[in-house]
Amino acid sequence: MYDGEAVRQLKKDKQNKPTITMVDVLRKRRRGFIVYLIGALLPIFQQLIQQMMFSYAFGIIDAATRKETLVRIAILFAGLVLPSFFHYFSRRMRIGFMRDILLDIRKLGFRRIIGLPVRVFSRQSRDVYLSNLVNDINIIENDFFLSFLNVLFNGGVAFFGFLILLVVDRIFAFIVLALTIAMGLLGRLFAGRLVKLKERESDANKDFSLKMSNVFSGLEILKLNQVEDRFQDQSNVFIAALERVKIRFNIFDQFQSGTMDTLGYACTVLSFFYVGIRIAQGQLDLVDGMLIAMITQSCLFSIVLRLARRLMSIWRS
Amino acid sequence: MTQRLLDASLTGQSDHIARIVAPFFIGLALFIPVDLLSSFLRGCYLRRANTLMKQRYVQRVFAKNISEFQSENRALYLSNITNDMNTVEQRYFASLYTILAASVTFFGGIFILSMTKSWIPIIASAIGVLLIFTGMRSGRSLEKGEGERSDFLKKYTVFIREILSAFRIIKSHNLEDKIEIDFNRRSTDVQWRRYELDKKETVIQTRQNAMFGLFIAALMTLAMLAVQRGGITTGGILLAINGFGMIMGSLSQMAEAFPAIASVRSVFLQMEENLENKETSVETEDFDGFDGELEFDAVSFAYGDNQVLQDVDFTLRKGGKYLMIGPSGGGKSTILRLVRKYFNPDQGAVLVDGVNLADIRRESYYRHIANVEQQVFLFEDTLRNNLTLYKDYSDDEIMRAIEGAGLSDYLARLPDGLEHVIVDNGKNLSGGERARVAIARGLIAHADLLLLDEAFASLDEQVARSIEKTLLSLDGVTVLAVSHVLFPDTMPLYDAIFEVKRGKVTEARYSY
Repeated sequence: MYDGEAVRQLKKDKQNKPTITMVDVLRKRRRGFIVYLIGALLPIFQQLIQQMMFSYAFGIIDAATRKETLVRIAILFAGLVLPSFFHYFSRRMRIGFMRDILLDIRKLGFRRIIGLPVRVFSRQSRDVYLSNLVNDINIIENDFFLSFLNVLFNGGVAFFGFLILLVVDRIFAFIVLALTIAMGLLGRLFAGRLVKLKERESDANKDFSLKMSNVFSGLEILKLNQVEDRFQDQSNVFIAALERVKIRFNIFDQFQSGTMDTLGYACTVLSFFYVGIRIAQGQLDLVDGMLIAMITQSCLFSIVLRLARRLMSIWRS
Repeated sequence: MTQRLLDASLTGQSDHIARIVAPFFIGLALFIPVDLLSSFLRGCYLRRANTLMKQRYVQRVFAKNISEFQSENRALYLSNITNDMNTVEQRYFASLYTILAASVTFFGGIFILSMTKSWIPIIASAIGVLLIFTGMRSGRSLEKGEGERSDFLKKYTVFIREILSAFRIIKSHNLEDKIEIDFNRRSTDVQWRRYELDKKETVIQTRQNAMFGLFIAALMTLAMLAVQRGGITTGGILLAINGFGMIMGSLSQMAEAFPAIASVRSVFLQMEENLENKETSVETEDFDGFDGELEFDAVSFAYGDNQVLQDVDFTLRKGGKYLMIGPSGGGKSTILRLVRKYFNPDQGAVLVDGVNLADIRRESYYRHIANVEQQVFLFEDTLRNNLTLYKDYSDDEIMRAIEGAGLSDYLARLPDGLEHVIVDNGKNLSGGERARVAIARGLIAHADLLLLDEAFASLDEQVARSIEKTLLSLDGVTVLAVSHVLFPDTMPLYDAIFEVKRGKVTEARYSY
């Protein structure tokens, strides 16, 4: 088990810097990161192609011939089924890199802890180190990677969508940009409070873990002394305190998300309204109108409703 | 209203538009208080569900038999109440709410579609049912994976906790490299297993998404063909898109929520398994105090296949002082656990005043024993409550115990005396001070039987000797000390010294 290869690898690893920065870790796996980036960018093109195919298929309504109808139906099917396969390739290109990166972080994290002198190690509870090696890695996996992926996706969709709008209707593209900025500013009003509440929730979770860990460690002696009931009541208080903090974040998070959805819906209806007028004036056909409406929707929702939040998650993790 | 607004825009009727815009935006503004109410209700639901689940869990952990609780790794319980319950919150409670909310959205979409053609919502509903069905099937495959994931992450957490617990030993024996290689090997194993599960999940998701796309494409084709044949306005078409969007969005949420719910079943099963009490013996006798002898009569005990004690006989007499020594793994701690009634012997019996300890009710027995353990449990409360564990003792009794345990200097340094609040679970107390708190607890209890488990290990020699003498001078109290620390000047104070080695107990003879 402790063969020469493992020892050699350990010595080689130890020559690297023991400090953990995401940049160092990414630099070490440059090739994997490029594959990951391609995998992460695939869904952007998938969505844009899907929207174009979908808009084209919408022309079924105005199709003049049976052949045209059939072609548009085939494109509709392709537009709705092919994304699954994009998803397959995209995810396969990402998960291998995530595996390697998380493994690197685990190893570096452990090396930092095992390298501590006993005196320094004893300053913190074992549960803090356990939390570093288990919970914090989960946070990196869930918050960093998922958020990074979403930032790429939402940023990419908004950017390329805006470029398409510029080509199709320049004035409307700038109206959408103005609306996006306005809603983005509104989103920032929510963001500060949201981050504070999330930090409080995170602290409350950590505090709860430490307290429950202590109670579970002492349960044997509590039972021997027959005083477990009092500590069961106390544990219930810890639970109630944690959930009280969590509910504040949950309510505010849902409320801001619902409010932004409502505003997003208002903007979507306005874009349909605009498209309707352009169609009535004979300046657009149904297919282009659909494309504009769908891209507007995805630009607004990508930037305002998702991108800002995901950027916050990355910053936190 | 949206349809009317869009139709008006398409026909360019400006007077009509003006009439609709104000009510449209008033209607939209009403969404905000409704959102607030909905967020509040969702928050209250999650809070209540989480609180009840966690409190019920804690109640069950506290109800576990001490033997079973003691034999299992406590990291499991912590992992259950933090990691697993977060999973349950996100994948079960939140998913249930999502399904409810998505159902409302789904029917809203159906209602909107019913304004276009009456058969469209029927087909859409049929597709919804099919999607939920396929979602449930996928969920079963994902459930297995989620169970495996939870299982190996749990083992990994336990492994890390063990390493952290043995930190001092690792450092003192220079085992860092060996442990790091082991850690790296296990971490690699964990990440690769997760990777294999992720691959499987990707295939399942791809299949499900493709099916989802096929259904939606079929539905949209039918709807657009219907529109092609007339009867729906252009505003109606855009409205239909909105309706489709609502249906697609809600079905997509449901297709994710159903497998998520199914996948936590294995997490529930594992938690249930951890909480189950396996021992079901019936205790019939009350215990009023120790008057005569505690006797090990041909006791044998094994942990699974590992035979720890074999045909052990010895006797402790009331008021006697006994020391138990021997190599690690020889069976000393097992004897202490049998005396503490954590387990019952496989063969033979532990008799207390002639009554089989297995038949004595645990709660009545524990009233008459006191324990000084090596791992001292401290909690956030006053020093008084940490010493008395909330039982009623006079200040004199407390002060006598403090003196006997050598805690007087510590107490003198505290500005609030006994009312000093111990914070951060006693992290700021030294190992010696913690040990003395445990000894004071043992002294204050006025128990018939005092059990010491390596009680002097954290104390310096002079203090340890002094406290040991105090304990050995307790009149009428039977003391059983398990220790690897021996002081020649206190050894003669014991009535007998037992050596536990390779599962046998013999009385050791020493010349002092």
